[in-house]
Amino acid sequence: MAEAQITEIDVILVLYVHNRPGVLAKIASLFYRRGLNIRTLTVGTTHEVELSKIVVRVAGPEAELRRLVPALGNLVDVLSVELADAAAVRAQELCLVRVAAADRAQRDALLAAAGPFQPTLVDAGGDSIVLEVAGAPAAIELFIETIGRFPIVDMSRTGVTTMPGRRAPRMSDALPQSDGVRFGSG
Amino acid sequence: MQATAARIAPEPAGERNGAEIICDALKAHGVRTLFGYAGGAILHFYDALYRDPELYHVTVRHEQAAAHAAAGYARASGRPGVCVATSGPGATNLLTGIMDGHMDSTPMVVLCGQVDSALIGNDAFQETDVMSITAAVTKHSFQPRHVDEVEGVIHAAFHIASTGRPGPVFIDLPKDVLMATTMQRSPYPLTLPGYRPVTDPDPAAVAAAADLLRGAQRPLMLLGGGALIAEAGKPLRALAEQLELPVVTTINAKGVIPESHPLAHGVIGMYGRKSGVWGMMNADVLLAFGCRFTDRITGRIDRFVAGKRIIHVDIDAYELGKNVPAAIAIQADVKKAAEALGHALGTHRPNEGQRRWARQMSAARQVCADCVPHTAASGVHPQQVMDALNRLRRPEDIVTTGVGQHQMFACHFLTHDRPRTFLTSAGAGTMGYGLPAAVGAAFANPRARVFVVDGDGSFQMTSQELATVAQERLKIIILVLDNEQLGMVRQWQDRVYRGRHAAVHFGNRPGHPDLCLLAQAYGLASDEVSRPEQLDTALAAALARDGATLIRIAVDPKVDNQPMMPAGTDYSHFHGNCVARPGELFAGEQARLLEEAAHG
Repeated sequence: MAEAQITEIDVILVLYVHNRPGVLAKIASLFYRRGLNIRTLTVGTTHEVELSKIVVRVAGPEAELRRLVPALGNLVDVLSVELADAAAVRAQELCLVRVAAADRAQRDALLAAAGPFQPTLVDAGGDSIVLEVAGAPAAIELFIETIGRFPIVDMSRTGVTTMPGRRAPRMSDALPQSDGVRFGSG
Repeated sequence: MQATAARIAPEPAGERNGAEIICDALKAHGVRTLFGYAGGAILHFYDALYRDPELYHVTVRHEQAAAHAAAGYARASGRPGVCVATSGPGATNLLTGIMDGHMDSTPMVVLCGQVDSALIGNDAFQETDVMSITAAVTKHSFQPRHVDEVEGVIHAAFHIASTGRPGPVFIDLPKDVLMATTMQRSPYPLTLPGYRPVTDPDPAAVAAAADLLRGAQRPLMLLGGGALIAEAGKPLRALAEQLELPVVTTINAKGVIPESHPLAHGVIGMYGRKSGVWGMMNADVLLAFGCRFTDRITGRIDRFVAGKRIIHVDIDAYELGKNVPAAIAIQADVKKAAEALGHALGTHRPNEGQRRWARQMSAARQVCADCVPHTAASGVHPQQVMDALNRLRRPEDIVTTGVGQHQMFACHFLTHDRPRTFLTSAGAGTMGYGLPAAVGAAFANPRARVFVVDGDGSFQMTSQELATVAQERLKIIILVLDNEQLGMVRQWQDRVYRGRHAAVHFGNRPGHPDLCLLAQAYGLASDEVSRPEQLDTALAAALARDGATLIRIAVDPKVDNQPMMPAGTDYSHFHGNCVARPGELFAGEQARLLEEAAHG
């Protein structure tokens, strides 16, 4: 059987979901079923108490990722799902790096190298320092590459988050006067 | 499918516990019968059932059967089927039946006991993380953690199970929630903000589909289970008749349009009928309603879609473009889409090319209609069983099947003129489906006569349900086509594994039961058929008898399902029996008949 050409894409998925236990597990299992490995994942509550936002960065075969979107949308607790090219999305990420720096000279060299990325010095006690950098994922990756010649001992990335151009879905849209469903009184 | 209209009961006076709230909510949704098996964590619910004369509980002998019976009930009636089990092993035994219902988009509400809320996560006796286990095979699941959530959860479950693309909804019920009492009637609001099934077709897409159909030379209609669920037979038939469209179906769409209709070509796919398969190979525009284009229908996708433009109508956006690219994709309820398409086509009549195609398809259909029944070298040929059933079945009579060769013979040769009369495990291929599904169907439609067409392998997967049949005094006629082997597997071993028959032979060794004696052990009547001429007599005797009959039919162990398309190939490899050379479906005299028909 002739192998079809497989195109890999790097995308960011933005989901607005009903803030309930178990929703993230159902979403994650749909990635797993298709052999998709999540690169970064952020989940947080929003200004609406019942609404959470999930931002996933994932790379994989285009056909699989495009099939994933309606599968995610079919989950009863998913209000909306959007897929966008990671390079085209204005996304932000926070990165913390702990670098071993025993003496003043090493610290100065590190701070000079990191300078263009406008890091915040989070911790400078003991024999290491912790830098915090925020920016687009590409900038974060360049930062890590730049300080890679220094002895990094730990690193933490939050994963990307993003603000789509459109407004978030509203829970009030789900009230009976619209086509949503509400059971019970109160 | 229509949403279940919840008639909310007037507020009863006084306190109710969680279990009583469930009983009241079930009745509000018109439930009278449920299928299940009692056990520790769900006992409070069984106590409420015991005290509620309006709910009838059918005790099965294995939880899997409860789920299949609920599915059989749902598919025969169009209303959600309800099944019940306890926590832990009760829950996991349900799983196969839930998965089966999920694959065939069957509306089911599954009520499952769970240990006390405080013990969840502590590996208590009979505790399991069934919410995780069922997540992949349910449309949705709920676990109310407070008694005041219960009623809203039940209403939401019926709504989700029966609207949009139907499916099983699982409800995990902690024991303390069932026991807790409340004066309130669902004061906790339950919203489903993310659940809004699309049912109305996009008019622009419908207009484009109408244009494509007007210009088609060899159009073909393909119906799947979604057409049956939407109860779209009437507008689909009108559409087919207006355009003189030949109609083929998947096995879940048998009877949506009467299979005796001159435009109906029966079931296509791996073991499909020759005329329909030929139509599929040659169609230039495929008008598909509510089907998933599984591998069993398409074979190799690239070959299947070559030269075809597909109009794909489905209520589930996930199906559109999943397996085949659609020239026009319409997300909508099949019935609404069929009506809209009929409206958009106005008074269009077939053009000359379409008429020529319709005549050819009609001639092809006649060749298959004239198919000479096969005879067996020994015992009975399965086709002879189906012919006998066709002779005596009334249109409303229901047939359920197991999974295997007998199932494919039933799909191929049984003629069903009404929807919801042929219940089979299509997507999942769950052996053992037939008997418990028949139990559910018998409760869904007490006026219909219910037949089970099973094989000896499939039947033994759930044969303990003979007890349920006897206990409920159901008049179910069970035909076991006994070839003393797993015939379908043996057929594949002959083809792919050079006849190395690993783990498929049951006969001529200890362990193959005398099926008639087995039926007698449960107090049921039985009969033995070893020659074709005994079939009609045995069936007539069974119909005349009160209660159930098991008829063991000795079928030829060497018979294969043919013609067929080998897995991973395409219809140009369709071969066997009436197909002389692979892919050349109509040769010689038959080809001449089709050619003649083309010229009118």
